[in-house]
Amino acid sequence: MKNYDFINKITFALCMLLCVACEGTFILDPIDPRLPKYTETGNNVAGAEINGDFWKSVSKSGFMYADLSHSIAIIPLQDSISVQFEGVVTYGDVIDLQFNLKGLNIHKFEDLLLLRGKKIALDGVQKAGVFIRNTYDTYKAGIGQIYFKNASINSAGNVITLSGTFGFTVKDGAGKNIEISYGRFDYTFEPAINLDIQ
Amino acid sequence: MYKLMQTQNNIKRFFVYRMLIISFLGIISVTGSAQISLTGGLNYANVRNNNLLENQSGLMGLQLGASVRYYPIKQLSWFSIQNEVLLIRKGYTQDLDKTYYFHFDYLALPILFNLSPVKDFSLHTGVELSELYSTNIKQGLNTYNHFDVGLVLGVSCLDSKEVSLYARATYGLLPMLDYYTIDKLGNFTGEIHDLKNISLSIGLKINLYNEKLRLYK
Repeated sequence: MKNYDFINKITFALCMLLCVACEGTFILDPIDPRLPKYTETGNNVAGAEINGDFWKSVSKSGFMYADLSHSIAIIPLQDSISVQFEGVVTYGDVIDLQFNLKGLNIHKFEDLLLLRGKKIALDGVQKAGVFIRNTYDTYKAGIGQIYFKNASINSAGNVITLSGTFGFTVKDGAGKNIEISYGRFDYTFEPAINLDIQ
Repeated sequence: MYKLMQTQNNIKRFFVYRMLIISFLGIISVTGSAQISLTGGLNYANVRNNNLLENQSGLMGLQLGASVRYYPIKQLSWFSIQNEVLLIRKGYTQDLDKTYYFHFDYLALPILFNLSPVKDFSLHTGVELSELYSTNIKQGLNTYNHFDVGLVLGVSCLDSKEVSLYARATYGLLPMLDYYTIDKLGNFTGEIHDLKNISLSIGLKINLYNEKLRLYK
């Protein structure tokens, strides 16, 4: 009988692990299905058009692995945060989009809720979009906008969902414009998992 | 705003369920000697819109259902009313980096008025009330509006035979989609209400009880 109890407990634990081993939910945008629909439910996806190609970022995680594809670093001493989304474009390159934002007065986890409703102009200096291709080609000083339309926290107070839109233009090494447009994201952030306070 | 939308949805639902009940009561009340048929056929569907969708085209679907026809006015033997209950697939496709299929399965209740100028041929027109009950799109029932009303125009022939043929066009009147547009930079620029169903159907009708049902003595 004891053996059965043990097996039941193991089965229950595995079920619980499987339940939390969830992928991002890519809901097709009803007008352009190459992009995710704009949502505010923590679907853990992002998407954008990059010079006519389509970039998708869908978090994947499972039992014993996690590829969360999105992270935030808060650096209180510099009064700055860095938000990063990892994804791929349709032709296969890995593209990371990063937003380095200074002067937002965000020093701790809960301060991220202050982003709710904030439309932040990217001037390329204090606040900038960054385009990183295949982890080595990095083009900084992107000019445009990121809009945190919604910021909410779960009832346990340990997961924040940030949802919004973005668009910016950055010059590549040859001086040509890389245009990131129609961007949207809907991500959850959790301390010690994909949120780092330095 | 949300409450207003909820109220509107409730009114629509009430309307659909009332029409369902009326249709079934109509069928039940005449089943003693009804001209009852099973219908089935192909449906070419698409959506019309204000240039929102890129590389859009239609798709083929199936429709299955049942109908009852009755003759309400003695002096007008060329006039009849037909109630139907149909399961019908509508939708469209988009050819982009790959082909995206948008399937919308509706429970439809056409209420049609038939005019028969000559034997074995009739024109029909009326309205189709429909409710979206399933779609292949992830969380599609949260994305698209459920209720639709369409205008129907069609013809049927060989009405007095055991198997007859019909063809019809349905022109959806209500938008399937309420959508916030986002510009290149990520600004929300407005709300649109668009995507309306259109469909062309051809099919067979198997008359289970092939006798004119008259509601007068």
